[in-house]
Amino acid sequence: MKRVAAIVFAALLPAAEHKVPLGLDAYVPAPETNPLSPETAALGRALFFDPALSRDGAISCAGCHDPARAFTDDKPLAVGVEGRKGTRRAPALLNRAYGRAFFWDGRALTLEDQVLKPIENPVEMDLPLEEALRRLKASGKYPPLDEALLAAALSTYVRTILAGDSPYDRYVAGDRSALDAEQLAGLRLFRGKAGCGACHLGPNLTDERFHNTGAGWKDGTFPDLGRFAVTGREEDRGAFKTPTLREAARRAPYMHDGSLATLEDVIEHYDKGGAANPALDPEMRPLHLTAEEKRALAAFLRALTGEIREGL
Amino acid sequence: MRGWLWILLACAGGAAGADPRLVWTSPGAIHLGAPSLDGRWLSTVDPDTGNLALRGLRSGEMRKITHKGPRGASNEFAYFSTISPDSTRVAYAWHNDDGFYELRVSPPGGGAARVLFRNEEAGFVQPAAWSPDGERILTLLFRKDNVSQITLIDAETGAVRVLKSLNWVYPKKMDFSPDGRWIVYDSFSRDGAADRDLFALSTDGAREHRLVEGPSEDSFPIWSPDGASVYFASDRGGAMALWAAPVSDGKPAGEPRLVRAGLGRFLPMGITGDGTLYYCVRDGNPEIRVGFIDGASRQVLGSGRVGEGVGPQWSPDGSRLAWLARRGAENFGEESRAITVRNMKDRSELTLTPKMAVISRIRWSPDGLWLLASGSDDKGRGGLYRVDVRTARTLAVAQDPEAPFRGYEGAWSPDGQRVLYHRGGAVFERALDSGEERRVRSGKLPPCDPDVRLPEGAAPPASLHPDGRTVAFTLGRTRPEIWALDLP
Ligand code: HEC
Ligand code: HEC
Repeated sequence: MKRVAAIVFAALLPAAEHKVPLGLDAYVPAPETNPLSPETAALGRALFFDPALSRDGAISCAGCHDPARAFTDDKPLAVGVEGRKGTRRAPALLNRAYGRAFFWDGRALTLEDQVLKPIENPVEMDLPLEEALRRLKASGKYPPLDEALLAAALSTYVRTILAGDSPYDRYVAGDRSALDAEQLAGLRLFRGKAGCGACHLGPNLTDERFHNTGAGWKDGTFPDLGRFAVTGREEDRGAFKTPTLREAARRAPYMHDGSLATLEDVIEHYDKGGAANPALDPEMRPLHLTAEEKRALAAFLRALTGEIREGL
Repeated sequence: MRGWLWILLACAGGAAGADPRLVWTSPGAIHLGAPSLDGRWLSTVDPDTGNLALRGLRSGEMRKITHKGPRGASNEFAYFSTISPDSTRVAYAWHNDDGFYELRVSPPGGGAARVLFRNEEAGFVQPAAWSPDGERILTLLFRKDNVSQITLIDAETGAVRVLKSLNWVYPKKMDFSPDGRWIVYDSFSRDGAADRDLFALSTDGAREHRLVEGPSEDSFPIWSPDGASVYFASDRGGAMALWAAPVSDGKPAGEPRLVRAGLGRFLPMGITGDGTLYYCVRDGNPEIRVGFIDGASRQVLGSGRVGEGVGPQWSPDGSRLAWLARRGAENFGEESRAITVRNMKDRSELTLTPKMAVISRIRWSPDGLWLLASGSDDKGRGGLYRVDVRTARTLAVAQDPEAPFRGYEGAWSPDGQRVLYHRGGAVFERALDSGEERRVRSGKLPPCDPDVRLPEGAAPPASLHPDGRTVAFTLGRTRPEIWALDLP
């Protein structure tokens, strides 16, 4: 009931009043053919939580992208229908509206293109789209749907999931008391000595580019070639999309393969200069951080926890 | 000469119209301000004091708006400015005593200034245009994380609405549409590209369209007073020229057309209500000259021109001369983005374009294989870099987000294994292989400017050839001029 009221209210507001959490751009990109609308967002929300989209009816999108866990889950590698194991970790679906390419390797160029893939993916929901549409129709819960509307609704809902308004955002907006001394020291390291800001920057703390940090490098090879599979370029071997760092503290484990269990492990990884390999990003280098500096950096990453909003 | 060219262009089907008029030339004529909508005033910075000033476009009167003391007495000075549509307020960037820029608003008569926005995290602000209703100021913020933000700042409350953030790129100009619904700005055509396109972003944050695209450099957009076109600088026809793109509802409404060629290195500043475009031209090209010095008087006896640019440096063996040159059709940056290396024996030249946004100074390594470059990299990180003289491969020597854009002043150790540099009033020495750093007690860099009396009009730094008799230096500087062009 409360949600319905919110939707009606939003529909009456001019676009100018559509508020984003502190720290994010007011311009929320969406294709001209699928502009943000409260109706599509509400439809997308219902679909996102509907397990009918999986073969065994046991798992919804939210099963792997859990709102209570910043729209990811706690498993290192995604687990789909009948416990089938995927090869990558479910990314946190935060601020994806500002993204430029989707999946860890960026193989989908739009969210519209991306959101139907998990439904058909045999290790995720494993359901042919026609069957999915038939089930949704049979449920009687939805307006008439086709593939395009299904994609439009799910992608619109994903676009409305916005994370911001953390102590870091309040600090950047001018509230000098929003970060304590240790977090502030961490921020300085993040931008300076530790060099994190070379890739994690801007409102979403990502450059939306692909880098090889050495994560996943095992026994002299990358079991997952990452971006290379899309571009075929040597320098993209083992490169993955820079994820947002928003809500980082709430969504262990980390990296595309979930191979680092804690933020402390992530910092150790970077302190070593990542895992040495032939395509390591030139920005990666040993950092020589002291124990105190590592604590400060972790404290700063914890200051990226704020508010998550979804729906319109 | 110019008039003759126009007749030719007009006959060839190009745009005709009146010739541009030189409005103002003096040290105060800089591109930092804009004309008022009524065409009476141009906002500017008083060159002697750094005060914000208005220049009467018809009267020639100079009116100071702020009243700080002489330069040197404080860190304060005015920078970019724009006049409200009703000419009752001027919004401007003010470099404060704490060393960063804040946004201020003052009445044009010189009353009390109001600080609208002050935040060290966004320590560079560039007010670009007022909304037509005078309620908001379109302002570019540049943040410590090297992200620029297109914002609307409430002219009363100072409340900031961030419309869009851009990584590592800085629009050269932005403007409001006359109906207040759109903003036009220039930015890289796509992530990682070097050429700019024009974009229209709706002020309610709902939509964005690409207005002008192509492999050319398209920048400095200004909306026409009738809202039907966007004027901009572009090299789509070869050299930089003034173009206009028809627009309707924030979207392209036809192909861009050439308005005027041959304006020189021009920076569009604003268009008045009656359709006069004001722009700044950097006239004059500094030259690199090589001359001989008189042993006794240390005076340069005679010199010859070897190229265009600034900051020449002889290689340690004296066989090559390197200097800072302009990159391509770039009209905004100074002579600071490419490096020319000239072989003095066979007169061949090599142009290096390192991945750097700003280079302020270069120094040869003792082995002649590297150039130590002070400046910022393509991610805006200031510091010291070394550039491979053959490949332009660029490696960071000392990098710091807090460093100035112009980078640190640095010098090589005699063995070329270490670099000494100035940071925050102290001198540090950094080993190139290990990256280890220590503070140097003596606190001095080796002297670099030779003891030479340069001719009138020459600018430091000069460089002495190892023969002790030949000197290379820069002669002349760019002179800014303000021009007006009545648009057709
Ligand atoms: C079985 C777990 C699982 C389910 C169920 C699932 N996803 Fe995902 N999701 C993943 C994984 C794993 C990836 C990364 C895959 C890759 O990079 O190849 C991903 C990636 C994404 C992305 C890309 C995010 C980015 O930043 O690149 C979006 C968007 C997304 N999922 C939306 C959805 C939607 C919508 C649904 C429901 C239709 C859904 N997911 C169902 C595991 C799941
Ligand atoms: C060269 C670019 C680059 C630099 C520099 C960099 N990162 Fe990352 N970061 C990435 C990429 C790419 C990933 C994803 C890697 C993967 O999954 O294989 C990542 C992942 C992470 C993650 C995990 C996020 C998640 O959702 O799993 C954290 C936390 C993180 N980085 C923090 C940092 C910190 C702290 C620093 C500085 C010490 C830093 N990064 C420096 C590119 C970079």
